[in-house]
Amino acid sequence: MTQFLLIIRPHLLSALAALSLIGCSTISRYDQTAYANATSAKVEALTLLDKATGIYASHREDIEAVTITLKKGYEYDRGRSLNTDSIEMWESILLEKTDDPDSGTYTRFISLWKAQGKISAAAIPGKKTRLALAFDKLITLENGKIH
Amino acid sequence: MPDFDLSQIGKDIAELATRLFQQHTQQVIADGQQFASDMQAAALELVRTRADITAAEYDDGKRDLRLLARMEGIKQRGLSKVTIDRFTNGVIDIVLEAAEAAL
Repeated sequence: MTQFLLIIRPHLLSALAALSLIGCSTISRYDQTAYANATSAKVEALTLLDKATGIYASHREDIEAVTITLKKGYEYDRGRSLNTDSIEMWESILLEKTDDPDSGTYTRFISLWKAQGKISAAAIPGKKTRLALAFDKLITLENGKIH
Repeated sequence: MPDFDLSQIGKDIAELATRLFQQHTQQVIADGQQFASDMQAAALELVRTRADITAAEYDDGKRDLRLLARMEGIKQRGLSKVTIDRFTNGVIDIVLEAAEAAL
């Protein structure tokens, strides 16, 4: 019996080690690129909001650039396995859904900017606070994952 | 040849569970308090500016508040999964160490 255990020992330990690495995850591990994507997107989006008292048409290129940054972050996270919670966070920020009028806080604001031509100065600080909180939830979740 | 020390494994797993889930509970409580404070401040800010913003901007703010509540739930769901993963990984580490000691 002892001899048998000695023979299988390397295989048993390897199997247990492999199980510890891949066997029991319910959510993706921390990803430095995903974290950087989210923090960059937050900074760029909040900076853009400061321009929203100006005419929408004059800032179309700025809006496009920031929107692309956000979409890149979303697409990166969509490509990670076991990452549904972060994807749902990105969609809450980025995707306007016809069956969910609360969704897409960033894109909803851009649509409003376009519809109104410009945003009231008094509306900007509150929107920045709320958008920052939304990004913070995404960033906190990523940072809270196993490093 | 030593055997698995099942009694010690049980104790180690119990300690791990107690530590991880106590930490998680404390974090959920702290997050809940912070969330309530953030929502109160955001709602007050929105109401205070109501006379100076358009109806659509006000509506956007209300939608944001509802969305933030939902996102807090998503965040907590994700962090709960992280705690479960830490626990299961910890259990495997405990069993692995016991196996190495037994062989």
